[in-house]
Order: sequence, then C-alpha cells, then structure tokens
Amino acid sequence: MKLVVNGQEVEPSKKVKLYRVITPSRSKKILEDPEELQKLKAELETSPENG
Amino acid sequence: MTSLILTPSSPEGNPIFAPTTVYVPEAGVFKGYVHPATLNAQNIWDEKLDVPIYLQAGGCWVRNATQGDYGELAVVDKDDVLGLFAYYGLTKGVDILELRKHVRTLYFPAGSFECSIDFETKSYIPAGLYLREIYVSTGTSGDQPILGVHYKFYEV
Repeated sequence: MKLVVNGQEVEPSKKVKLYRVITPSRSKKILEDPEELQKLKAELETSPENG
Repeated sequence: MTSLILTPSSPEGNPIFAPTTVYVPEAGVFKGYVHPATLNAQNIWDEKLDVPIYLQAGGCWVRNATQGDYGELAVVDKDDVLGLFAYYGLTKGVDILELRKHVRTLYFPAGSFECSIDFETKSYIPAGLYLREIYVSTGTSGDQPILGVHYKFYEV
C-alpha cells in the first residue's frame, strides 16, 4: 500500500516513522501542564531504556 | 447520519442550557478541510496549529468510500515543540512523535458516510503541534475517495 503525505506520494524508504510512546492519560497531562512535561523529561533522563 | 452539534457549550464541553447565566466563550471556531484521497493508499494530512486550542468536537464526511476504508485523527509533534525528540532518539524533519489518537480505525461503509464526534473533555493542544488526519483507502478502482473534516475548538 502506498503512503501519501499531504498529497505527495512518499517512497517506502522514506516512510514517516510513527512513535506512540506516551499513554493517552499521560499525554493529556503533559500537553496541559508544563510541570508534567518536565517531570516526564526527568524520568526519561533517569530511564534511558524507555526510548 | 448525524450532523455537527451547534449547541452552545462550555470550554469543558458541557452543554449550556442557560446561556444568559453562564459564561459563553467568544472565541469558538469551526474549521474545516476537504481532502481528495489516493486510492489504495494510506493518506495523511497534517494541519499545523498556529495558536493553542481547546479541541471540543469534530466530524467528518466521506464520499466514494470502499468497504474497509477507515479514518483516524491524531495529535503529533513534527518540529520537536515539546522538546522530547532527543529523549526518544528521534530526528527532527524525519520522525513524528504521535502524542494522542482521538479517533482510531473509524471504519466507513461503502459509498457516503457522515458523523460527528464530541470529546468527553476539552483537549488542550499547544501551538506548533499538528492535527493529523488519516484516511486509509483499500479500494483499487472507481472514483477517488474524498474526506471532509471539521473541528469545533476554542482558541486560547
């Protein structure tokens, strides 16, 4: 199946990568609360395997 | 078939039954897009937000769908607005960080389809992020599918 991004066909080798790394409830918090975003970054710094 | 709900509602998405006694936001916005889709392809359109919004509701209509086609709506960070790319080893300009998926595999019947969606709570989305609309076409012949999308939101 082809991939078309904004009307332009994208080569499979250049396929846009999708990452969904944050749970929905956490996502809502980090978007609404800058402190929650900083808390997530702090957790990622101490747990690099999460990446 | 349903239509977009035009009833006044609070920023939290609750209907306002007594507009004269409840604060009614003045920055409510309806915004729509129309996208011709490519047959037998995963079609993606990204709408960049120039200002932060509270997303309240949305809807879509589809023409020339094939049984098995479906749509999705996500909120993505393409430009590292949140500063999370480095933590996940992502490359700006190449990778996409998908933050939320408001609509997942909304399958369409063959032909035409319309629907509206109210979110249970307002959804704050910072400026610089994108609303990502996805239409997966499974048809291989016939007329080109067309996706119409509209949103109801409040600009902050």
